[in-house]
Amino acid sequence: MTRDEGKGLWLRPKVDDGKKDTGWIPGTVAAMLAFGCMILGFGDLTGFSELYGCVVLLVTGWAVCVAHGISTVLGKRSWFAPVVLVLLLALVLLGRQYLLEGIRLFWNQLGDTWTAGTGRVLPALQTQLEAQERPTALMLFSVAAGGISALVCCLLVSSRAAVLAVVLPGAMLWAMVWFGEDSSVRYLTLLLFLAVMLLAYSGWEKKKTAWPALASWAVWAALGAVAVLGTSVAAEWAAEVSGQLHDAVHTYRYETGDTTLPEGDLRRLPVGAATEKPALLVDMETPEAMYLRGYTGAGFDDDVWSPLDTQILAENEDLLYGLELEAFDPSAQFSAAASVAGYQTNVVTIQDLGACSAYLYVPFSLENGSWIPVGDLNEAVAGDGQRAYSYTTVSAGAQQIQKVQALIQASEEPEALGYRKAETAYRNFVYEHYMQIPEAVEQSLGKEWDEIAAGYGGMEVLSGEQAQACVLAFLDRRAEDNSYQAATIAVLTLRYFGIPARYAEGYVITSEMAAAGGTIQVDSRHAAAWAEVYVDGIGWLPMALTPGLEQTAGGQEGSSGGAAGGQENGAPSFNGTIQLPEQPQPELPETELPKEAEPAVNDSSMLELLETLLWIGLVLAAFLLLLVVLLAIRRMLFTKRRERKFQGEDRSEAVAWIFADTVLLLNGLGLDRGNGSMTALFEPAARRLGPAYGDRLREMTDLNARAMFSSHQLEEVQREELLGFRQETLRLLKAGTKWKKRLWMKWIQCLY
Amino acid sequence: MIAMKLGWLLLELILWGFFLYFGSAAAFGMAVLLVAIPLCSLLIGLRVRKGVRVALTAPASLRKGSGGTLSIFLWNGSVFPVFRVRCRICVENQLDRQKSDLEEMTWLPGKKKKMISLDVGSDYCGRLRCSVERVVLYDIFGLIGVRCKCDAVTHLAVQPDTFGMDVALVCHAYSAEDSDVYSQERPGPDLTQTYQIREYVPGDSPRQVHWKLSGKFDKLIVRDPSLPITHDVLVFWERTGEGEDPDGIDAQAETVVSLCRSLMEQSIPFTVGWNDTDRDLCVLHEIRDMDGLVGIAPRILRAAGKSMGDTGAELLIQTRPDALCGHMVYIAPRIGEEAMDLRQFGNVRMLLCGEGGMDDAIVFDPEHYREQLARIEI
Repeated sequence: MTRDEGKGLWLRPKVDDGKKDTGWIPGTVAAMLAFGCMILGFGDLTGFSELYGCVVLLVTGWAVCVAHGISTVLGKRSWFAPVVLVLLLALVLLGRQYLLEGIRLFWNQLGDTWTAGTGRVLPALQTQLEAQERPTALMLFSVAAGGISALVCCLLVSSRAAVLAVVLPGAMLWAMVWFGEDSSVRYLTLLLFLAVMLLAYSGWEKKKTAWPALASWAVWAALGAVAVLGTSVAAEWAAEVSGQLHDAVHTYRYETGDTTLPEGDLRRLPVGAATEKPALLVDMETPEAMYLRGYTGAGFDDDVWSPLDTQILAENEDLLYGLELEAFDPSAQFSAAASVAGYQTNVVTIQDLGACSAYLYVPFSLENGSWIPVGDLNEAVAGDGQRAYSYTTVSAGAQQIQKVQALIQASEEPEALGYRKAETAYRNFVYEHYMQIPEAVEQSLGKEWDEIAAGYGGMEVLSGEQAQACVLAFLDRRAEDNSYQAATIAVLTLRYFGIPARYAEGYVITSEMAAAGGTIQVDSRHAAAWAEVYVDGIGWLPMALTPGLEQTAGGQEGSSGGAAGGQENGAPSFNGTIQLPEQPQPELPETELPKEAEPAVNDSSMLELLETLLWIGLVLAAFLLLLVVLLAIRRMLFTKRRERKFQGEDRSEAVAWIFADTVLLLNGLGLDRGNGSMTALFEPAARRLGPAYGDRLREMTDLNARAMFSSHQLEEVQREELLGFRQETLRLLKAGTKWKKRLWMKWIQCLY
Repeated sequence: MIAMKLGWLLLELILWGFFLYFGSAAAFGMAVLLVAIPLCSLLIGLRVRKGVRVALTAPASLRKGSGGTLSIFLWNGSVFPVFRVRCRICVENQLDRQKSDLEEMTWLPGKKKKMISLDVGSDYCGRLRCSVERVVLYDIFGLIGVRCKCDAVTHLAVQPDTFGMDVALVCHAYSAEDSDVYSQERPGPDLTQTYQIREYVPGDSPRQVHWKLSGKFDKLIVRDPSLPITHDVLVFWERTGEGEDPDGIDAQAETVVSLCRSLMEQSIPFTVGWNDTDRDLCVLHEIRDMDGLVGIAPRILRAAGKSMGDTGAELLIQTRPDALCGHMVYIAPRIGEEAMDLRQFGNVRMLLCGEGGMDDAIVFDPEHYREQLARIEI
């Protein structure tokens, strides 16, 4: 072989050493597995599998992977990528309208999934095609996306499998964090398992043999399956460790050592005496008493208050985001109502020295402003580590509640009408999602609640005022250890009696503190939890400021026992009990949604069936692969044992073994002596395979007889001669037998 | 291997990320296994490496520019398979010190033999030393290596492409031409000595006619002149002052061998020599027949040069003055002062590759040396 490039000394792998190239097999399998796991995992994570399903994606991608394998076998791999890109380009040019629509639909689905995970809204793209054309659009999108993804997988697997082994799980990790998912994403374990398989395959990409990769996979598959199954019993422990890490990260990022609020977790109430170390420094243009709300909880389970599930926010995204776009933010609802009556503003500046900086501490009278992030549907106003901020409130909002309430219901101004319409929609949402009570609590306290209600004729006939009276009566009986428990009981009691309520934590500035003027130092003595009640037409108010409920002292006490709110401690007071107008039963108005709900484009039952079939197919394929590996190992052992016998030191014994094996080959040719003598086969063999062969068979039979019965040791040349005869018989067998029987003889009977 | 190790590290971090951030127990299990497998493989590797053997085979010789197959055989004497075996193979042209190395990866099933085939060759002549420098056993991820204490070496010669040289021995007045030894095998030019007496055949020179015997036998008798065997041709290849230009070294080597072959074809016995730059001594061989030349060729092909140090001419004069004779051919990359001293002992024809420096030196270059040296006079 001569060189035509460069000059000098060379040393390189041999291009063609006559060995059969089987290296393309693990490469193709690896690419198909990588692609499949990527599509299934990311399809499930992004919600695309629900939107359209992954079958078209998988079929397209696997076809590309198989084509890549074929191009490798044919030696045309350098043409593969350009051909695929040209085909994809043709698809783009011919179906660009549908393709763009598919991208829009995918983006919108991505946005919905993100909203469901984080409670934040992504801007949606306007779709342009009719609903009946969307399946076509999604199909084209699937073909294009599947083609490109599979091409990338094939190229990486064939050159840099280690890169794919890192990129796939890394991208999944990032995506799961970004989408706010947890480890219950389907196919995650499979994807991680495959990533390690790809790492084990790395380094064998350009080799001609498949065995090293397959052997590595067999080792990893066996050990990895054991590890995954074994650690499944430790799922709870793993979740606990993860939770602790999340807490640690939260603490490091947002909290100081002086942070006292438990953020809804009643299992971690602050212990020890309250300190005077400042948590907040509050400057107000006009000092006034305030409930500075931080954390809010909507659901109560296992002693923990949790915010409203982002899934619920996502399901009501259209409503909530639509309301925000119409300047109706639940965090600043009171100011929207008060704008009808006109109000003065009060600028509040907060310096967060020791409170948790994950939230901003705002009163119910917060004015709507551009600094409230639009599109964040979560309840609490996110702080993200801010330690200094300022906002505007409705000045003396607590004193204006009744006035605003009366005006907003009576006014016929367009502004008021618009507000009432939006408020009605939001109120329905509140009544739907802020009334849940844990079963255990209901069982524990329900009897007592019912007893109180019985005094008014029973739960079914309670009016609004009576419900409030029942709440007050129940709370007056109880004396909780701290404000957190008191607030919890208050919220659950309110809900039981049909009043939507939520749990809130924060800091309370009393009238005395406000009266002192200057910068108000708020410390852990002023940290508290309270119940917030949804007042129809107004929004969320602290219970102590809610008309009709302000007389209770429960739930307003700070951690040190000091009361805040209510008349006793100088909080804004009201003249007696306010008669609330009859609250209409919440009806579902015809709320206009900003965009139409999109129908599902695929039959879910068909999809499930296809997914099931796919799983069955994968399991079968895995089983077949295992079977092939086992058969190969078995054949290898047989061959090895045969060779050992043929090359044994005792030549006579070796010749006998070789002859016996040759007889088995003759059986395969249909020449079976049964229990008779070999001489019976001479004529049939000569007739079928030629007289020369018949003569040789006779000679070899004699040789075998000598080997078995003669005391003289045979020569090496005689062994070689018989081996040659065996080879000739084998050649005749292969030539004269159909492929199916050949496969059977080779892999099952292990004749050769 | 670095990519695989980096990939392993990143994947390990990602798995820990999944475990810590999302509480995935499966990720934790896989992360632990990703560490445990290499550690267990390390222990197995320490056991397996004792049974690993390596051997090399290569063709005896190659032509310039043509490749040959270098086969590396690995044996695993243990029942444990080794999933990754990395071999470092080095090839060095001992003439011009060009080196090339390659790392190949394979795997070794238990109790099995594996062969790695490589293509080896050189565009320049020389003796190639092929060796397996290192054999390292790895786990399935290629993370932790266990080095085996086994190596193998073999040699192969890349034969020079000789060319025809018309070498003419020119008699000089001051050269020691006389010799008392005559060839018994073939006639020559020396009429003063008779090689054989025979009958006249047409074409014989009248000068050869032995008149006395012709008169006696009444037929023309001629005598063949004898071939004086002169021991005064020394072909010396200077190896000091060598640059790093492999073309020049190749040209010089081919010149030496071609010159020797031409002298051999003319039945001119000669001595070929060079300075061994590793041991700082002169290597000289008297060549009587083709077998001798063939035998000495491999040694010529591994006569590596160096740029500085004692010159061959200097060593020759100091240590082997007996080898100096009437006709000397001095092949060198450049002329040195010591080479000029050789002229005191006889005729010196300088064949210089590259730079000149003397009027009567023949300067040749690696591109046209065949034409430039087609005919030389010694």
